[in-house]
Amino acid sequence: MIDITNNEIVLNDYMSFKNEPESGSLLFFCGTTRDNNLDKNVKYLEYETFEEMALIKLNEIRKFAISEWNLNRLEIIHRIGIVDISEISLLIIASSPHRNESFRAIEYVIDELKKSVPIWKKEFYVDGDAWIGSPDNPN
Amino acid sequence: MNIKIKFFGQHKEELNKSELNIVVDNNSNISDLVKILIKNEPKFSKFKSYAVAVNLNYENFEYILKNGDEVAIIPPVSGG
Repeated sequence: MIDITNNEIVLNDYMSFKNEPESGSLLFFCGTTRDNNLDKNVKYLEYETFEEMALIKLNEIRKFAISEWNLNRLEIIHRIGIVDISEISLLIIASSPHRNESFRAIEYVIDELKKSVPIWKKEFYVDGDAWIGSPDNPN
Repeated sequence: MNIKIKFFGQHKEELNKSELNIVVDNNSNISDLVKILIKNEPKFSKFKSYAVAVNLNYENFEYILKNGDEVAIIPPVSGG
């Protein structure tokens, strides 16, 4: 499953199931919002996306990872809009016969997401704001 | 040819618009489009780091445009 949502990502909503019978590993990765970056105190973040294209890119990433690491399940959920500190902005769930495949697949998904999926975040500070990844604020 | 340009993130904010329609000559490529874009929106000249997608696919600056293409200017992405 791929999802881009304005709603809060509640981990429990995704945990009330059994793993795939062919799997021996089930990994959850949560990317959460930090209250600091580049020596600044972050109050909250806001994510924006080009959703139509982001869904295509996420599906490409998912399809490749499932095939490359023989996954039985791979879900990628990204939140957009305003996200308060400590909340989940990204959830990746991977299920595979053995743990190595899930670990490697999740790392691949995050790395690719940060390279090619049109999602942007803006940090809000006490004294201003900044788009992350812009040349003015490299990260 | 009529080309629709879409802006996101810092570009959308600084230009104060999310879309712009531009007319270009036949056989224009993305680089030609950017030159016209900067004439229309001089503020865009400050942006040096971005990618371009045409009809939802990343393309390079030599891509030859077709009438009706939708060009998305993609600022450095920062999801996660």
